[in-house]
This record gives sequence, structure tokens and C-alpha cells, in this order.
Amino acid sequence: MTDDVKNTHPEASDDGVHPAAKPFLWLDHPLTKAIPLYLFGGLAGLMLLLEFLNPFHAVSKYDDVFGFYEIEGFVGFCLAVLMGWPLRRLLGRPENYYDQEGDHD
Amino acid sequence: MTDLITAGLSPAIPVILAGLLAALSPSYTLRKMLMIAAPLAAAAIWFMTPEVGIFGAMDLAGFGFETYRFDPLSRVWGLIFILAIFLNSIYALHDRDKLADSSTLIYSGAGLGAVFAGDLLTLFFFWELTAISSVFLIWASRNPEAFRAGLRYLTVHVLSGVLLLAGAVLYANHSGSWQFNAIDVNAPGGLLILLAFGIKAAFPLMHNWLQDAYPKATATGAVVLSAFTTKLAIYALARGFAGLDILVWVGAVMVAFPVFYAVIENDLRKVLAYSLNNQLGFMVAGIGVGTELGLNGAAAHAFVHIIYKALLFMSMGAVLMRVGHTKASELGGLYKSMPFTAFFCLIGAGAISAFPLFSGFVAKALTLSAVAYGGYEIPFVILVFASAGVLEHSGIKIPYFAFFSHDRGHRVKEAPWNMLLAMGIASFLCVYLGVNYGVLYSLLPYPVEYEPYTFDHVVGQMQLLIAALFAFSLLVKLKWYPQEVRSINLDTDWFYRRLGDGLFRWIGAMSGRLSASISGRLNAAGKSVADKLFNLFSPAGALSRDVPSGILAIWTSVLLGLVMVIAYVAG
Repeated sequence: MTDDVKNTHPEASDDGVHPAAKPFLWLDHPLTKAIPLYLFGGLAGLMLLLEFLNPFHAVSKYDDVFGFYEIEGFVGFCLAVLMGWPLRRLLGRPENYYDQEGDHD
Repeated sequence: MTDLITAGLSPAIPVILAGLLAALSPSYTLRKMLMIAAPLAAAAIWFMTPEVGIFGAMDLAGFGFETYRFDPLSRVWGLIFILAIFLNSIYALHDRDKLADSSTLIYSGAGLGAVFAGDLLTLFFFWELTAISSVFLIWASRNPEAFRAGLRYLTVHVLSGVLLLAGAVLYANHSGSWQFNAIDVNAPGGLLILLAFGIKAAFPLMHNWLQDAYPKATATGAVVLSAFTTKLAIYALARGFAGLDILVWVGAVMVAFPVFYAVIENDLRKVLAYSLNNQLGFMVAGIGVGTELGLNGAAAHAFVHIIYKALLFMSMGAVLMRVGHTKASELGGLYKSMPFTAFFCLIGAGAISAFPLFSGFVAKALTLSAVAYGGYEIPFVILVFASAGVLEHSGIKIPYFAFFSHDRGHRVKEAPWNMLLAMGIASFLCVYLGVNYGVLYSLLPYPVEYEPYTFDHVVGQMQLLIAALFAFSLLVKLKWYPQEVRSINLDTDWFYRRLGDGLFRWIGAMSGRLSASISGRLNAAGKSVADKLFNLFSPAGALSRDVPSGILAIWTSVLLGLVMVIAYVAG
């Protein structure tokens, strides 16, 4: 590494938390981690309602389908993530797979 | 100044000169001054260039060179390259590596030179210069892995240059001109030129040099690399192959396959490299459509992409610098010690995911509309899918696993001020261009009559993103999101790093054996002949032995008789 300013001892505070981060420590609360599911679920419903009230002007036969973007967003995301399981089994290798002699001297 | 510009002073020249001076300068301060001054000088030339036209045309050895072509297409690429040089210079202010400083400037100057090249030979010269100068940014990591990756990178890019030169010679021979304009792919050399551009643009199956090399560059080197090489290739495609139908499909494949790789990749800088590949796909698709809207989409996308991709690489560079690695399996909770970096990373994530009010939204909308209006329905569906994929790998995975997720207890310093400043400027631009999109649209090659903030666009995009965010929350809740594990994944580089390497080693071993065997046999044969000659002529050999004089007399008589018979017959 050429960037040689590496270090591990912050000067900011005793617990190592940057003062600017302290107001955001609630992000670690378990409740905060549970909220997004319901928040995004609710917003997704709201977006569908907006489309229902004011239908889009489709430019292709696919986006003429009601909720096309939500379907693609949800299904596409799930497809990409869930394909990770078989793909990792198929393509995953140990980190030292390409290592050669002397790499970690 | 105007006279110098009309004589051919392009924005590339001060940047390359600054790079050469930096290579000679032992002074850190002077090098950093050069790094800041060079893009400012380039910007001054860009702004003072009087009109659209060709400057610096000259004849050398019977060839016509055009070193500074300033037109609506090169203009927008030139400006964003200059901006990228400026951002990189600020980001790298703390870096005391002379090699990195000089190669950064020469490389980015070469990128500018290629963009402003009006003919194929000038393009080739700068094309190769980008390859040769940029490899030092990978080697600057100074470890064996980076060295080998650099060699592979150099090989691929020199090959791209050789193909470009071969194609250019054939094409010029056919067309009678070295001008770099629209290229007929069916003409002699056309396909070679397309292939050369395709390698540098990381087309599918030719892409893996990118994911192999960029994550092995230094923290600052990866930021620089992310801006120029591939976007130069996108420019070349837009210049040479706009409207080539197959590019829409190439783009569709390019946007899709990196999404799957990015999900399972553990190194977050490599995730960004796959994400870069995916973003290039949108631009390639826009070029393939070839309409004014499509080309505007590609140019706008390249412009904003350089900024937000640099921003994301900067944030991961800061993590690399402070923590020592960017492995998702061992990161998390960094927002507590690097809150500003986390914030800037989130801005970059919002921009690349194309949330409304961010730059990605106003640019991607052009490309998606161009593909849809062009009647490419399946590619359109793939591009929309890939937009959800972008949110997955760059919008969520990068910030989530680095800065949030499980707190791994890393308590490090925030990034240095210069890195934060560069990230801050890039973040500002991500929002500014998203809100004041007229500024971006005014730079595009063709007049823009497009309104991105319509009900359909905004609600449609929010539907896509919110549904994807809902899917992410659900998959995490169900524990169906694959855990990050320490591993690497096979990609097309396996063919040359394992299969090719193994084949070469096998050929090497076999040649060694064959050569040993041949030399053994030759030695044995030689020894046998030598033995025979020794036995015949040595002092102890057959010819030196005492033989009875009677036998010699008999043999002499026989030979003499034979000679007389021959002489008689012949006479």
C-alpha cells in the first residue's frame, strides 16, 4: 500500500466513535433494523396506488402492465440475490486460489 | 492563448507535460502543485477554445494528424475528463508516491489526447499511451499480485492497441482516409477496430481485465483508473459505431451479468469494478440505439458516472487506507468512525441507483427512454432489471456492508481532509447535476428536448427502487441474503490465469523434457561417433596399431590393380 497514513487510533473520543456519528448511534438499535421492511412495504403500496390513480403512458408493451416497475424491482432484486447461492457454490474458490509462491513473503 | 490553441494546443498537452515534470521532480510540493495546476490549465484551454473545429492539423511522413478536434461529442468527454483529473488530484494530495503522481497525469492526459484525436493514428498513439502509463497505478501497490495483474492488464491493452492499429491500416487503405469518424463495421478493418474498442470498453467475455486489475491498484490509483480507460472506449464507440444494432444487445448483456457477480463478490472494490462494467452496458446500449436521444443518454451517463463512480471508489479507497482492506466479510459499523466518508458514499450510492434528484436519474432516464422508443423491448426489460441490480450492488451492498451491517469493531480515523474534500465536491456534483439537469443537458452532443421529472418517470423509478429495497429488507429478515464469505469467484480470467498459465507451464515442462531427451540422445550419438573415431584414429586406435606388412602390401596391390583396371576401361 502506498497510502501510508494507516492507523487505528482515533483521537476523537475515548470509545472511538467520531463525534459526528454519535447522533446516529440509534441506527444500531434492533427496532431500527426492523422498520425498513414495513416502511418500504408501505411505500411500495403507496406507489402502486399512485399508478392506479394516474396510469403511466407506456412506451413499450411491457411497461403497459400495471405495476411493471414494482414487479421488475422486486423480482429482479430477488433473482439477483437468490442466484447468489448456487453461483457461489459453482464459482466460489478459496482466496488463495491464484496465489503463487512468494506472494505473502 | 487563442493562437496557441489554433496551432494545436489541446487540453492534453499541459497535463502530459505536468506528468513528465512530476516524474523528474523530487519535490512533493512541486508535484502536487503540478497536479492541481494541470487540470486548471486544461480547463482554461477547453473554455478558451474559440469554436467547434479541428486544430493542430499537421502532416508528418505523408500522414495527416489532427491532434485537437473540438466538437460536440469530444467537448463533453473532454470536460468530464478534466473534472476527473481535478478531483483525483485533490484526492491524492496526501500521496507521496512520485511514480503514481506522474503516471496519473500522463495517463489522464493521454485520455484527453485520445478524446480530442481527429484521426486514427493520433487515436492509436494516445490509446497505447493510456495503457502504458496506467499500468504504473496498478504496480504502485508494490506487491507480487499487483505486479502480475499489471502485466495481464498491459497485455490486454497493448493487444487492444495492436488491433486498433491493424484495423486502422486496413480501414484507411480501403477508405482512403485516416479520419476517425463513423466506421463501417463491414469494411476491411472495421471489425478489428470494433474489437479494439470492445476490449477497452470491457465487452462481455473481454471484461475481466477490469475486475482483475482495478481492485489491485492503490487507493488513489483505482479512483483514477475508474475514470478514463473505459469511458475513452465508450467515446470511441459513440464516435465510430453509433447505431450499430448489435451494441444494444451487447449493452443488455453487459448490464445484466455483472449484477450476479457483484452479489457474491466479497471485495467491495471488486464489486465496484463489476458495477462499473454494468454501468458501461447502459452507455453501450444507448450508442447501439444511435438516435440523438441514445447518444445524449450515453454521453450524459458517462459524464455523471465518472463522478459518482469516482466518489464510490474514493469512499472505498478511504476505507482501504484506514482499515487496510475492503473485504465485506470483515467490515461493518464504520459509520461510527468514518461518518463523513459514510455520508459521501451514501450520496454516491443514491446517484448510481438513480434516485430522483440525483445525477444518475436524469442521465439514465435518457438511455432507458431511447431504448424503449427505439423499439428494443427485451433489452429495455433487461435494462430495467439491471437498474434494480445497480441498487443491489452499489446502492445497498457497498454502503451497507462497509459502514453499517454488523459492527466489526474497527475504530479508525476519518479519512484525511483532502480525501473528504474530493468526496465532498463529487457529492455536491451528484446532487447539483440531478437538480439542475439543464446544465448537464446543455453540454450534450445534440439539443435536448427531454423532461426527466415527469410523473411517469419519477413514480416509475421510485416503484422500481422501493420494491427492490423492500425485497432487500425481506431477504435479510428471512436470512436468505447470502452471507459475505472470504472467497474469490471464477470469471473469464480463469482461462488465462489457470488454464492458459497451466498450459504454458505444461508446454514449458514438456519442452524441457523434450529438449533434455533430444540432447541426451544427441550426446549419446555424439559419444558413440566420438568413441568410434577415437578407436580408429587415437594413438591406441585401429589405424595406429602395428599390422603385418604383408597385409598392407596385399591391400596396396589390390587398390593399385583396381586403379589400373579403371584406367584401362576408361581409356
